[in-house]
Amino acid sequence: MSKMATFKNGLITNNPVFVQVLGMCPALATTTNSTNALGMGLASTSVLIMSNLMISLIKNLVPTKIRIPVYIVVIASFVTMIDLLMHGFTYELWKTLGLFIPLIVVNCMIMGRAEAFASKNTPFDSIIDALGTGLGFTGALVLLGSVRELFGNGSIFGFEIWGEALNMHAFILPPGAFITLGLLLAMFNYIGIRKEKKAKEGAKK
Amino acid sequence: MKEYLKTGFVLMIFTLISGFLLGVVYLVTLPYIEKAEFNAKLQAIELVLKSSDTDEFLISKSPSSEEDLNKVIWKESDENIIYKNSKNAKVFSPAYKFEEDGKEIYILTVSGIGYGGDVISVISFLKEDNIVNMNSIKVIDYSQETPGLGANIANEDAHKKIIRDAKSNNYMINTADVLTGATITVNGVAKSIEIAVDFLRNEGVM
Amino acid sequence: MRLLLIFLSATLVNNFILSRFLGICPFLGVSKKLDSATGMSLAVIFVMTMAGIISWILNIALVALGIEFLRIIVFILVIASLVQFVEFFVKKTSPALYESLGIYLPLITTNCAVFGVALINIQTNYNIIETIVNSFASALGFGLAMILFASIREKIELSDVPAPFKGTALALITAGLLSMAFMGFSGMVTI
Repeated sequence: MSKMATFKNGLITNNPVFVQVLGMCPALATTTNSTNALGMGLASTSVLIMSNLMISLIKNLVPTKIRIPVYIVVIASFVTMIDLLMHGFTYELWKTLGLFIPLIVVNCMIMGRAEAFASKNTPFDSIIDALGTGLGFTGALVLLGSVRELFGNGSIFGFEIWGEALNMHAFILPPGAFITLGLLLAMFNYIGIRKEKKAKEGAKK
Repeated sequence: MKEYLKTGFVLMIFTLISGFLLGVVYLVTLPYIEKAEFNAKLQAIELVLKSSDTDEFLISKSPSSEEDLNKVIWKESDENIIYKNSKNAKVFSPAYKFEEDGKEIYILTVSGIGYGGDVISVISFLKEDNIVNMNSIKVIDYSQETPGLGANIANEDAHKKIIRDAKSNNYMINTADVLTGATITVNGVAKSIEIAVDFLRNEGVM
Repeated sequence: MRLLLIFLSATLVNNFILSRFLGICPFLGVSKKLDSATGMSLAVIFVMTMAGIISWILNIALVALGIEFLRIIVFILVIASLVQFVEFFVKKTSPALYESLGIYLPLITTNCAVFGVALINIQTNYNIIETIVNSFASALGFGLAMILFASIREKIELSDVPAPFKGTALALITAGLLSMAFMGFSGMVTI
């Protein structure tokens, strides 16, 4: 696969949240507003890039039988590093994201890319894949967070768009998270179905 | 058997290397972490050192370093908590006391049970002419409360209302007025104020 | 009394799936059939309770040695080993269950709920008894939500749903309604 195709694959075609349905826990929990969503997305992307790179570099040193535990140790180490760095340098965001920073370890997306891609490709390609997937993840989270913040609080990234009047508080609460993600997923499914239809009709002619 | 030993050994090597590298990162980031935690604490203390009426500092020189704060420690304990009551509200160690011009200012870090857990606040009490009154409060940890509802306790309005009720209504907080629809969180703050007053009474200050 | 409150809080009020958003992947993945949902829940209840207890004990050693920053690595390795053990056990005692759970059994390792409960026990400073109660109760809440959801989903499979909504999208919206129902428990207990 060309570099561009790899990147696009992670970003759109196989978007971790909307297509592969991975990383649901942080997608629902940290998207109460766009800023938290962005912070979470970037933290996860950093871990993804570092772990993909490292795993690609050591892929020949790891016996196949224990590759999963080794990947877990690598991912857990990078998550711990990000946790420590955020604690020291981005204290407010660290406090807000709280429990979900260590939970990046169990984000299926990271283990998934390590197993499916990084263990079989060059370090440079692995970085591209990580960038695509990570940014796809971040984009999905920011979209979800923005919708929830906009309809629930009337703002985006803290900037007030409209005041209290139109707020439907349910969006910020747990039910709103589920329903918003469900509706967004349905929307993307619809776009996908229409594309397929058009392709079929184009092929018929 | 030999297979297991070999793979177990390799796994252990990887874990040890990771642990070692992490140790290095930890040592490097530790000063920054301590600084960030200290700054957050200092910010809260500075805020409650300002008079809630005039918004000016109650003392001439506010603390700016760990040593400054250590000098004004009033009560502390080896464990994290100095005082606890049956409702699981807590007073944390250390409690500070500033003295200047015959005024005494007590700063307590307290918590009360809110919606999802502890709501932690820093409260200042001013003792002047033998009369003790609550001066100011700053809620510093509300991470267990619902975003958009209970988490609004962090807003200025909510704080102003709490201070107003505490001062003019003998510490009875009108929870529905402070935050409609999030009274449990406000209740948590009210419980933390209650234990602060209780503690000061126990210590003979009030 | 406090233990009862912790129990109720973890199971209903702060339900792991519907309130805390921990354990969504298996929740959406395994809940299509009631049997596999029940089997999964039982496996998770076992792993969560044991993992909660073992990690709490190990944490004491970590704190004593001053190496708390290794907590994430240690906890996740504990969970991975526990899951291996459960996999082995299930394969031996019930091959049918093993087949139906498929990939989702080893995936308990990456289940946010298991890792989450271990971290929450430490964060809220529970003692050993409270840890046991909380881990077990959280797991029960997880199982409860899973089984409720699976029962609903089995019925939905038979209905006529517009194409874009088929599958996960509708599942999420249903989960949202279930979550709304569970919100009725909020404020019921304050520990």
